[in-house]
Amino acid sequence: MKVHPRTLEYPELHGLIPNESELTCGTVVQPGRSYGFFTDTTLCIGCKACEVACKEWNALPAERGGLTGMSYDNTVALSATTWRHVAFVERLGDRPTTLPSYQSHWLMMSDVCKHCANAPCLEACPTGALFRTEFDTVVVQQDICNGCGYCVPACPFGVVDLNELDGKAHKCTLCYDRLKGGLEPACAKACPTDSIQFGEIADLHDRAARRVAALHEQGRPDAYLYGTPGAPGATGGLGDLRAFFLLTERPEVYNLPQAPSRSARRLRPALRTGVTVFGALLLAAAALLQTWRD
Amino acid sequence: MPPDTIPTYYGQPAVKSSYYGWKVALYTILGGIAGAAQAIVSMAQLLRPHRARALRSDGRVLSLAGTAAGAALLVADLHTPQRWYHMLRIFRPTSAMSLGTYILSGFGLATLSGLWLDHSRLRRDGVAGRLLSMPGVLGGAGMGSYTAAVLAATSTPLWAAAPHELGAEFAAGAMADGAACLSALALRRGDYRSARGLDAVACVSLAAELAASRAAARARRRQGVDGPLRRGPWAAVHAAGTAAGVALPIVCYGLNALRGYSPRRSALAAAGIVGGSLLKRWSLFEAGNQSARQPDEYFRMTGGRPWRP
Repeated sequence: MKVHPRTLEYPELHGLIPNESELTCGTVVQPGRSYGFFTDTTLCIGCKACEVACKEWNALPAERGGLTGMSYDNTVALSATTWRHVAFVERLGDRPTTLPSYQSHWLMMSDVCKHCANAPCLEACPTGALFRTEFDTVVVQQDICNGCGYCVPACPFGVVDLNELDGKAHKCTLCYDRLKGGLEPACAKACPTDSIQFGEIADLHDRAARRVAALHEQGRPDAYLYGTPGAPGATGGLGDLRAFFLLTERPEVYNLPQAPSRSARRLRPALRTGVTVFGALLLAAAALLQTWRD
Repeated sequence: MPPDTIPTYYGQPAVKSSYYGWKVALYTILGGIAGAAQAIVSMAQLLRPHRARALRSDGRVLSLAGTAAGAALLVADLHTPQRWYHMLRIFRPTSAMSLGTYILSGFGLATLSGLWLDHSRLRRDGVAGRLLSMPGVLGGAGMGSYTAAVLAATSTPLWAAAPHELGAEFAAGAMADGAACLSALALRRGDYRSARGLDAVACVSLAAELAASRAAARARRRQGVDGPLRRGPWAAVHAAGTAAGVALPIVCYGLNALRGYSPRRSALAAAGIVGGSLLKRWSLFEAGNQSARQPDEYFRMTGGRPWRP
């Protein structure tokens, strides 16, 4: 096992290690750079360590018990109190006679906020509660949010949600507090198979491209990236997704849209046509009201 | 699975539905009435100040009441209402909600200053008095239209599929509602001449609204996202709204034109227009929320072509 040489400087742990993320994932977190997640679904084993680590670090409550019958997915969806969600897709009934080299026909994907380059939630937020951090991620400021809920339908991935108990919007912060402290985000650090990788965006894009090429070489031509520039997911003016994915089935299978778009691009068309029609009818009204003449 | 069938994840929603219900739907109608009434009256003021005096006070009542009640509804719909003023922290041009905050605030200020002008010494039929009606016209146009942009600039399939058509539908609907309310107030004053003129405005606006609504329905059907407005309970409410808000008033206005003017038919038409608008708007909100919960609707809108890896 490869260990970062700096690790040897800390035989005992007496407190926070400066730039600990360098030891755990080889990335030093510095303000002014872009960070994100590369989630490689071909490595996911569905252990849900990311879900648990996220809930623990962010002190998020459990939601409900009970079994859904949706394979091993009893979390169901991202919500105000669930910021990582592992999807389980069992392809029963079309199992081939020869198994593919991984995962059989059981797809798993740890879903998360995509931290879009042009985030529709941020663009919709009227209070400035949603903002872009110095790490190029998107975060809701809890002391500003007034629970108007406009970010909820604005998100093209169904991520951000209101918590009716505290009346605020919540979503993944890409562990903003941990990044400020030089720590790797909790989910990525907890992932035992490195299906979730944290790093600088440019670096992650390189790694992901190499992984796709390697998979193609291993006889998996169906592997592709979702959310990198020019790929499915990074469409309609959203820019690239700072949390992007390696998938092997069409996006809808994982509950992801093929070609999502920036919600705000529909603002001007609606307003322009509305004001034009209003103006035209007002002129018609003026003409009609001329007729009531004395 | 056939190639044209879009898979879903256990039928789970792919986007979240909004939390907006009857309160915001009602606001969009009240705001539209306030905006259109103020705009019509301000227009009359610009063109014929000496004839518009009574009409002006009607417009003032509608715009003040609509703005006050609408703002109260919006604050009540917040999940942390004591922070309503956080809306005024920033101006975000990409947010229809932020835009609307300032349209509503500006319109409210214009209405209040108009009220003050009415009681001041300024002669409203002079040049200055006429020019001071301009903010009412502009603010009214904003109030009647921006709520469509709020809905269109979301990922909710039913609202997002036809932005142009939705804008036209809301603007024309606001004009019809505003004219109908002004007509009803004119009837109360016994001013049948104004009421007849306003009925004509309402009738023209209804025709425009109907055209826009049909165009929106066509655009949605083209993209396969009109399900909740074609089938199910909200489709029925929407149909009832169209019957009360379009068919009934057009019959009333038609009879008024053919058989001579009847104030009673005019009042019935006005009630039908506003009642129908409420039903149509409420069902549009709820059907939209339902469409967001249907992943197939969203995937069809977001380019659910046959997949080629």
